[in-house]
Amino acid sequence: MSTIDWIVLGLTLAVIVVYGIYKSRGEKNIDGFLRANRELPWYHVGFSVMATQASAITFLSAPGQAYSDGIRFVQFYFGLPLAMVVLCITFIPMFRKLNVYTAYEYLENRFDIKTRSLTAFLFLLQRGVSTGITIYAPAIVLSTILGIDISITTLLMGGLVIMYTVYGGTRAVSYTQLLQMCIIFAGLFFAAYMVVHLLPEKVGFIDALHIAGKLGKLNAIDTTFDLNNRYNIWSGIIGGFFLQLSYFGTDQSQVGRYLTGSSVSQSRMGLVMNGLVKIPMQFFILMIGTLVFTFYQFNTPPLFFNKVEEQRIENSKYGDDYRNLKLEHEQSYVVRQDHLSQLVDAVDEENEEKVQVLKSELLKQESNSQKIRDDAKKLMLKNNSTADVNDTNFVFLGFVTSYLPVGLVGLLIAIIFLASMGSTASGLNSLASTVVVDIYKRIIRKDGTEKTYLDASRWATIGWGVFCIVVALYAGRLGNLIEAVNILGSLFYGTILGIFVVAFYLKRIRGNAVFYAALVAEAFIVLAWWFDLTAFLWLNVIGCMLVVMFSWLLEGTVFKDK
Amino acid sequence: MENEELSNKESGDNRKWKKIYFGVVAFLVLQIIFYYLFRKYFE
Repeated sequence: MSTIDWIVLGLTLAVIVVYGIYKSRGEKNIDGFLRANRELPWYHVGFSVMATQASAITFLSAPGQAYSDGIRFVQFYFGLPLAMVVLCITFIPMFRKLNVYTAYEYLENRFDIKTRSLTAFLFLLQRGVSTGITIYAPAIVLSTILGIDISITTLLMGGLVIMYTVYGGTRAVSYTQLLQMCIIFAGLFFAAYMVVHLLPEKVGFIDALHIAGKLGKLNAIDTTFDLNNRYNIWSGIIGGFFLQLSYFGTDQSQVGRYLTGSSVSQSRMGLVMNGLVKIPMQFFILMIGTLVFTFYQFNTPPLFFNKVEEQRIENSKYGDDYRNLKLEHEQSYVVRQDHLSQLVDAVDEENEEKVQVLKSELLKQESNSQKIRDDAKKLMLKNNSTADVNDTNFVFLGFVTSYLPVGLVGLLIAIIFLASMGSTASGLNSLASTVVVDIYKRIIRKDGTEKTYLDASRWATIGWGVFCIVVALYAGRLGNLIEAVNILGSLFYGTILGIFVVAFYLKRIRGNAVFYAALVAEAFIVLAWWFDLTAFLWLNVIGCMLVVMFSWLLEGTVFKDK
Repeated sequence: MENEELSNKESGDNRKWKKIYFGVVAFLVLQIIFYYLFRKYFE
C-alpha cells in the first residue's frame, strides 16, 4: 500500500474516533450512557441498526461470495422487512411503555427473575464470543493484505473502539455509525464505478451483467424448496424472518439501538428505513462481486486469492504441482477471451441462437477453471490438513489492492476497519448494558448512585472490550470459529425468540412454564444441530416453535394449579 | 372532548402506520419480482 493510502486510512480512523468523542462529550448519567437519553432522530436509529448488523465480513465476504457462488445470498434477507413490521407493531411500543434499558428487563416484568437471568446469560455467552470474532475475522484478512502482524490489526481495531465507546457510550456509538455508514456507501459507489471503468472498452455495464448472468452468477431467486439448501426464497422468507425477528427483537446489540429513538415513531421509522434499504444495499454489494467476476473474465484472476496460503504451498514439496495448476489456470483464461468477445457481439445483435452456443461453451470453460481451483485446494489440504482453503474473503480486497488507484485503496481498507468498529461498538455497549442493568444493578448492588452505575458501565465496557480482543487474538488457534459463531447464534436465537413470543402473545402462560420449556427446547435444538438434522437457519424456527408448544403444554398440565 | 381528540389522533396515527407497513411489504414483493425478472433477463 502506498504512503497516500496509509494517510487516507489513518485520517479516516482518526476522524471517526475524534468525532465520536466530540459528539458524546459531557455524558454524565446512566440514561445518557446506555440510551443517549432517548433523544436521537429516526435516521440515527436507522443507520445505527444497519451499521450494527453490517460487520466487516459483510463487505469482505459478500462480494467474494457473489464472485464464486452468485448473488443468491440476497434471499437470506427477504424475511427482514417482515420482521421489521412485527417489531414496529409489537416490540417497540412494549419496550417504550415499560421504559426498559435492556430487552431482558421486560421478561422479569412479564415472568420472573430466573427467566430474565437465563435469557440475559444466553445473550452474554453468544454476543461476547461473536463480538470477538467480529474483530478477528477482518483482522486476519487485513493482516494478510497489508502484510502486518494480526495482533496489530486486532489491537488497533479493538483499541480504537474501546476508546470512544468507553468515553461516550451509546451516543458515541450512534454518531460514529452514522458517519461510518456514509463513508462506507461513498467508498462502495466509487469501487462499483471503478470496476465498470476498468472493463474492456467494448464491454459496458449491461454487457458485464449479461456475461455474469450467462455464467450463472445472477441467480437471485431460487424457488425450489429444500430444507438443506441454505439460500432459497423459502428459507430466506420463513427462516430469515425468524432469524431477523430474534436478532432485532431480542439481541440487546440491536434493541439498544432503537431504544435511543426520541419517540415510538422515531424508533419505528428507523426500523422501517432498515426494512426498505437493507435488501437493495446487500444486492448492490453482491453486484459489485459479480462485476469483479466479469472483470476477471478479461484479466486472469489469481488461482488462489489468499497469498499467504499460496506461498505456503509454493514453498512446499507440492510447489511444482501447484505451479503446473497455475499454468493450466492461466491458459484456461486465455482461451475464453475470444468467446467472451463473441458473446458481447451476439448479445448486442440479439442473436439468441449464437448466445446459447457461446453460453454453453463458456460454462464448460468456467467449470474447467473451477475444477483446477478445486484441485489446487485439494493440494493445499494434502500439504497441510488445517490449511484455510476458503479464499472468499480475499477476493474483493485482492482486487482493490491490485487494480484500484492510490487513495481509493486506503479508503476501502478503512471501510473494512469502520464496518468492524461499528458492529463491535454496538456489541460492547450491549454487553455492558446487560451486565450492569440485568446483573449488577438488579442482583449485586440495588442502591447505587447514578455515578456508581455510570462508572460500572464504563468498566464493564473496558472489561468486555479486553475479553473480545483476547477472543480475537486466540480465535485463529481454535479452528473455524466464524462458522461456529453463526451456528452458535442460531442455537440460541430461536429459544430466546420463543420466550419473547410467549411473553407478548400468550398472556396466560407464566414464568415457570416458559422457563422449563426454554430449557427443554434448547436441549432439542442442540440435539438437532448435533445430528445435523437441518440447515442452521431452520433451527431458529424450530427453537421458537418448541418453546411456544412446550410452555403451552406445561402451563396446561404441570403448572396448571400453581 | 379531549379524550375524543386523543382517540382521533391515535386512530389517524394507526392508519398512517398501517399504510407504511403495507408499503414495506409491497416494496419487498416488488423487489422479489424484480430480482426474478432480472435473473431471467440476463441468464
